[in-house]
Amino acid sequence: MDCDRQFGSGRRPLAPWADPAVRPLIRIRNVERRFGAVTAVDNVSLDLFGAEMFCLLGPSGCGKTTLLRMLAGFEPVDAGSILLDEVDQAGLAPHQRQTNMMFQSYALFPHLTVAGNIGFGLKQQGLARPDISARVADLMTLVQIDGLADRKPHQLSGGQKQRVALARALACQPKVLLLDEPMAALDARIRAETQRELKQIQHRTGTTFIVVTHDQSEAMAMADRIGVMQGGRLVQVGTPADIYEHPVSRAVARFVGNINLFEAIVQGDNAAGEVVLTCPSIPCGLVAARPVGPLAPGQPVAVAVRPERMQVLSGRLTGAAPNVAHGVISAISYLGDLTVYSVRLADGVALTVSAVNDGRGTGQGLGWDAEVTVRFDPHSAMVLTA
Amino acid sequence: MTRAARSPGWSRVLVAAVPALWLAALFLAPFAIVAKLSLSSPATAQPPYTPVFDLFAGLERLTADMSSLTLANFTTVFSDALYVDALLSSVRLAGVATLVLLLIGYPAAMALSRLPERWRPLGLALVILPFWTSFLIRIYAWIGILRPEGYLNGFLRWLGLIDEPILFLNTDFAIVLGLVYAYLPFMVLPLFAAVARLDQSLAEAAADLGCPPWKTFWLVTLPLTLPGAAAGALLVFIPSLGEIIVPDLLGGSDTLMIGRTLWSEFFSNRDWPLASALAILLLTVLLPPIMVWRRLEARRWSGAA
Repeated sequence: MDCDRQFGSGRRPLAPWADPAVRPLIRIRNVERRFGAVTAVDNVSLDLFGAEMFCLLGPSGCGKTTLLRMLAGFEPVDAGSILLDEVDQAGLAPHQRQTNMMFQSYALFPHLTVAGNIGFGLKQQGLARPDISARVADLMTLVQIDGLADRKPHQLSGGQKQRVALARALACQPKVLLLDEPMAALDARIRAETQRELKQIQHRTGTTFIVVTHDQSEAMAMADRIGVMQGGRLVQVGTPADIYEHPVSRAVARFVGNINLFEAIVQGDNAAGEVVLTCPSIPCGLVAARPVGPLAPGQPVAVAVRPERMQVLSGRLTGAAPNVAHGVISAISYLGDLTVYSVRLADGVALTVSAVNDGRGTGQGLGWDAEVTVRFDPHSAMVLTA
Repeated sequence: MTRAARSPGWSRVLVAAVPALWLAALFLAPFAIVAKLSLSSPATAQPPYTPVFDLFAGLERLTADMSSLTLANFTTVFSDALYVDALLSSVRLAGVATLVLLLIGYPAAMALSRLPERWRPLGLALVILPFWTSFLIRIYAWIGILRPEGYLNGFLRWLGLIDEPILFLNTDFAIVLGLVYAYLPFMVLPLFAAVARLDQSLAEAAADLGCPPWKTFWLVTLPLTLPGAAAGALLVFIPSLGEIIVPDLLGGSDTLMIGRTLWSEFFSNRDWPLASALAILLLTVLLPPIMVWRRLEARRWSGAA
């Protein structure tokens, strides 16, 4: 494959962020951006590595797009610094930076053809005409839009526009490609497929991608690492598994995936080294795996359990045990592969429990308003102090 | 029930009839009169031309009058260098004014479109504000600025740049300046509409792909706002071409502009037929640019944005 030769297709090191010997491609240091009284990006520090697929994830208005635009040079940096390949980007205009951006609206030039759009950046670099057309043809093959070279943007479908925008942004071989909500304008149906393709293209070109998205499943599906932003702050950075299994706060746990949160009070440790807690929703209390940080008896915390780590059993389980709650099924969603139960506990707390339908006929024994018991293992329960 | 069914048809006719009648009464009828006048001959009479059509004088008289119509005025217009020169000089001055207006209008429109949302109405109001004063007075005021003992020469002398006053008034420079000043809003407003409608992320995309600001303007902003520029150019070129007050007040006695020539043929020489022939000629000169603009507009509407 031509593009493989051009970009190289070596196996990516598994986790450059875990290896102190690897030099980061981008160093973001204590960066801030204020709009009047609002601090859109608040003291963000982050290292990004070569060939990495990094997703900035957060609700709208959390500052993720502003941070992306700061990297592109469209927003000034009010405090802190951004280094790309050890070069401070302060004072560099967008056209002087080695980053390229794929805009949420795609921002294709309506007066130029597909080939004209993709070759636009190459023309600015002063490449010879034959070189430009050869490279444009390669890129069109890479994003699978061969044969559309002479179309104008208004003659393209949404998916085709997205591919043109991607090819145009990749054309100048940027060190970092910035993607602002690349899937937002696509049909839900083709989104999953496009996510896979984007990841393949990223892998083939070996370019560092920074993707801004508000869709946690999209971030989980594509990212090597995810940075969760809330209220202008970068609250957690880690692999999708890190974020899912070890969220740093209630807010992160709620934002990434579904979660059941119990407000609880720390009592102390048990013989197995686990944390024992009291919780008004669960009569015999909670036992949870020990978190990394220190805990003091009497400290209020949250205990978080993912829906798929809980079991729902018909009837009332007799015998007192921790991590067991009794309730009534208030809703059932049958999703084919999963069945999702909403369970209302005696004190009104609502839980979500999902069960895998791993055999035909499983998951159909429980009905609405059935009395059930919900239980979970201590190692599935995460203690969140923030 | 029947009324409800019938009334839309009637109101539609009415809505179409009002502008149609308006155009017929105030554009087509005067145009027909001017066209007929241009084919008449001057006369020392009241009205100052022959023939005067009298619809009640019988068919014989009417045919005689018809046959006395003549193309002589057009022959005069084309044979006397004065009129062709006046026309060419008008095209030149109006053309230069239009170019200068484009050069001023683009930065002005882009600055307006970049104003914060709450300041924009004020900026637009300032563009339109001069219209609140009489056009005649505003142009007259320029005499005070441009004349040899005027403010401009006084300022330049105060700066020590000149010893002798520069002759600004009664030059082509003064006319172009007057035209640019008078018609600036007509250029800025359509340009502003075009620039403001432009998706800001297009300019950002161009910058991102390596264009310094001037190149972004040249490769993206300009081609995408060309219809607005064409509209503005026509809106200033057409009235500039026939302008009377600016050349009369700011131009010298030997300034040739077709509007002024037309005026003096009408009122000084009382040669209504010749003046009408000039008016028809002026209209013919204006037709091609208007048609070009209409084709541009048609193309813009057919090709979806």
